[in-house]
Amino acid sequence: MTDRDDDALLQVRNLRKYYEDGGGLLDRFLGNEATSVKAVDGVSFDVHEGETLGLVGESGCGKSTTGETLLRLREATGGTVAFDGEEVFDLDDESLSAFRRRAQIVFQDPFSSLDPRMTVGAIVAEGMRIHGLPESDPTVATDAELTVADETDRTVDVTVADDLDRVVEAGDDGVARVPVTVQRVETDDEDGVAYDATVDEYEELLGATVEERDGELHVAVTVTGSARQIRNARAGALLERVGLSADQVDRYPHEFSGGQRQRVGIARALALDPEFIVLDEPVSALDVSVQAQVLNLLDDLQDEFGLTYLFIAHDLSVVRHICDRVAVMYLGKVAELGPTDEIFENPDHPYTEALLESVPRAEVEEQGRRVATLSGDVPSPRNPPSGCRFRTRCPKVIPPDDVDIEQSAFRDVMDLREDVAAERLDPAEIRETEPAEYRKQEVPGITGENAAVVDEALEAVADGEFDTAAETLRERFETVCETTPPDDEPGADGEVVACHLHD
Amino acid sequence: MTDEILKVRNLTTRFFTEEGQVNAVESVDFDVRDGETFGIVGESGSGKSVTALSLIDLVETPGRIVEGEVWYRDADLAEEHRESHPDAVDGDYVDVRQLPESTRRWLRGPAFATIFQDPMSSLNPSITVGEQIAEAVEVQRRARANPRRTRSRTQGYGLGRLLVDSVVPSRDYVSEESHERAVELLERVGIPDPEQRAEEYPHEFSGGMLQRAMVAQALAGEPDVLIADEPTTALDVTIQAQILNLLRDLQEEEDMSVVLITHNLGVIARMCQRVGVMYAGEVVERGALEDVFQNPVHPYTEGLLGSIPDIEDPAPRLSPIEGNVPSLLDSEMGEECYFADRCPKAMESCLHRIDEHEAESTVDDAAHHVRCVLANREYDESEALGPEAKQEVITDD
Repeated sequence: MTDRDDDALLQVRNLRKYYEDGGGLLDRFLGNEATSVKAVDGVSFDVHEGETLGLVGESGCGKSTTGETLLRLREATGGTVAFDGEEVFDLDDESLSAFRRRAQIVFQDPFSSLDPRMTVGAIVAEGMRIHGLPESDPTVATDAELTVADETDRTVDVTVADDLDRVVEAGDDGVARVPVTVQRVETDDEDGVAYDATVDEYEELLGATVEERDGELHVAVTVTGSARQIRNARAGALLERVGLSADQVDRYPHEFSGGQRQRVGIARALALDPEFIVLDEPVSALDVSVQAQVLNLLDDLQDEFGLTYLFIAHDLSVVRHICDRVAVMYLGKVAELGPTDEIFENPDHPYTEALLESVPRAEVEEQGRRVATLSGDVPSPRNPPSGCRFRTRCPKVIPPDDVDIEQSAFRDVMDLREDVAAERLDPAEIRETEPAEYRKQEVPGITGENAAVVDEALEAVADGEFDTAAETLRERFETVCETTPPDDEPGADGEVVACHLHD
Repeated sequence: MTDEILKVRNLTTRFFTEEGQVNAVESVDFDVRDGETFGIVGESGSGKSVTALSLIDLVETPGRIVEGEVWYRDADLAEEHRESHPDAVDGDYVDVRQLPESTRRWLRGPAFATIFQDPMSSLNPSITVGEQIAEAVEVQRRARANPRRTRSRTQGYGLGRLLVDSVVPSRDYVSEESHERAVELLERVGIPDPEQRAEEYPHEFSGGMLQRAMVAQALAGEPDVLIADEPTTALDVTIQAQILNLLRDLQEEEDMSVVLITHNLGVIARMCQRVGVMYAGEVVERGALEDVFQNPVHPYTEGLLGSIPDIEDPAPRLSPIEGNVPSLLDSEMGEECYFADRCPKAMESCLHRIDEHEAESTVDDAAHHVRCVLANREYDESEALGPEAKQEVITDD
């Protein structure tokens, strides 16, 4: 496991993407300050060759933005991404184009990600057209498997055009081969004999001619199809590979169902022979029976083409099924990253635990199961909590060493502190119920010194002095979770547990 | 058998579109018992949402409920209509579909209430959340006071109303009590600081909070049956867990019955005692959760359960159902079982209409109905339809 870094195909370090909001002319005129939405705020992980890394989290956690930013579909605010050793954000136009061929994306929504005015054949072939494909690779040799029919009585030799690899894919030995048959045909000419050569594959795109020189037969195989025809044929083959039929190239997206469209999207991503594909919620829009078909297809394609996937999803069961390693994101940061089985069986981060606990299982034992839910909603990414992002909802938020308090009571205290800081409490109500009484209702589990401090703070709230109250509470109950951000850099083993409980 | 609050029989809803007649819901039967959660599960286009809309008679043109009965238990209502609508009354039950339109409308609220999938589009963005809930309360209050006049504020806008409003200062439709009740309801559904939140507009609420507000609105009429159409589909799992807990708590406290419509088998498993599985407009299997999930008879139910990856035990390969959901256009639907072309166990006998059969049940007091010939016989491989025959099933249509 120690040499893992060496085979990292993709290295993401401290990736950040902020969306600026406000700060326009009108905003400045009105005196509105510019704020930024920190969609992705310092994300680091590696993707190793041939693996599937899952990026999972709830909506708004920044998982899709991460996927799009690392492909440079969005301009990053900061951080670095290295693909096969090259810095993606420093690439010039030419190398960026080469990178685009090697890294592709499949989008979530099969309806809006396909142009309704293009045939699916054109959609799949579009990337090839833009990148000037088919092109011939000078390092690929070409050859023909010659079959000579019995009645042919001459020596035959064969020459194959160098650009045959535009049509025929090279085999493992780096040679593109095509089967050719030569046979003798009777004619009405004076000799009554002629020879004919046929290419047994790609008949529409390849041609073979026979010439008789010095008593020998020379067969020449050439590419006769236009670039467009070659692309179309390849598009058809790709559609077939993803489970559609090649004669559907001329159809339009609206003629396909959601699952079939997603297959078109996958065929499009495969068209440039990529090594790495970002799958952005590829099955979320599909029904379960179709979802299972597409998941199986993705599995097969990965084996067949040796692909590396970054699989972005919110459905944890799907992630468990398809991923080798999983990164759990929360509010723009990675909370936990590790091998799938470890994450699902022994989650270390309280957020991962809560997430897994929440998923309803489709089995009878699930009936009536009460889930310990997280309190509240995800905070705004405009103004994320200091320290650990999850501390405002974490059921295991760490009390200060010198404070003796029950875990659940400390959670209540922290919730009260949030309310005080946001001035969400009603001073009149607290005055009416008496601070001590109010404390017994809202934070029932505390006694002694803790209770006294809370009472003191509530008295300040009753007088409308929220700042004093917040300060009083902070002095007593300040936790490491709010002062220090947990370490979320991948360790030597590539794993992350961004939690102080794990230090 | 008086513990059923709702008995749906032979419910059939069709859409008459330009492309032709679409059989969205076809001869659907099910019962909903007092205080239970009945689940309807199916993939998109299986007719589960249209079934919900048909229950409360909210199918919009070009759709129409062409047949079927919705028997609702209400002794008072039965007594009231025994003379005037003898066909619509059976013991304590009334057939909601045969009642006059005004009565049916009056039933929405105290009898049936609905929450929909997308809370953002179900609430009016230009009216505060509290006001919208208060309006629902007010409508119910006025309806109870005078069942004949049940106009909500949004009805009856017109030129006359416009002129009156421009001369006379606007009359407040919603009374003070209703506003107070709305705040109470918001508190019931777990919205912190309800007085403050009642003054806010929907865009100031998060998705989970909005769904809670929708539940509050549905509770305004103190319904006997709450119809929840994909109530958690738009929500994240941790928020989904909150809403499911809330629904279960409310159901116990209010003694409501819930019809829960979802595509998520996990949500069904957590919430429901009995469940119906829909495919191509039909309920193909229904019964107790244990029967349907552990001993599924219909190959579609089996396939659906086999399609979902197990979060605890990742199988190396999923076993999906081959093919796609069929077209529901009447002209393209044959006489055979609608699932036959995708069914791994299709046989000769599947090539004609299949009725509901009773299958073995392991649970007392819960019948297990299956719309499949395999309900009371074993699958016999020698009778299997080959791929060619299945292809014919498709091309015959």
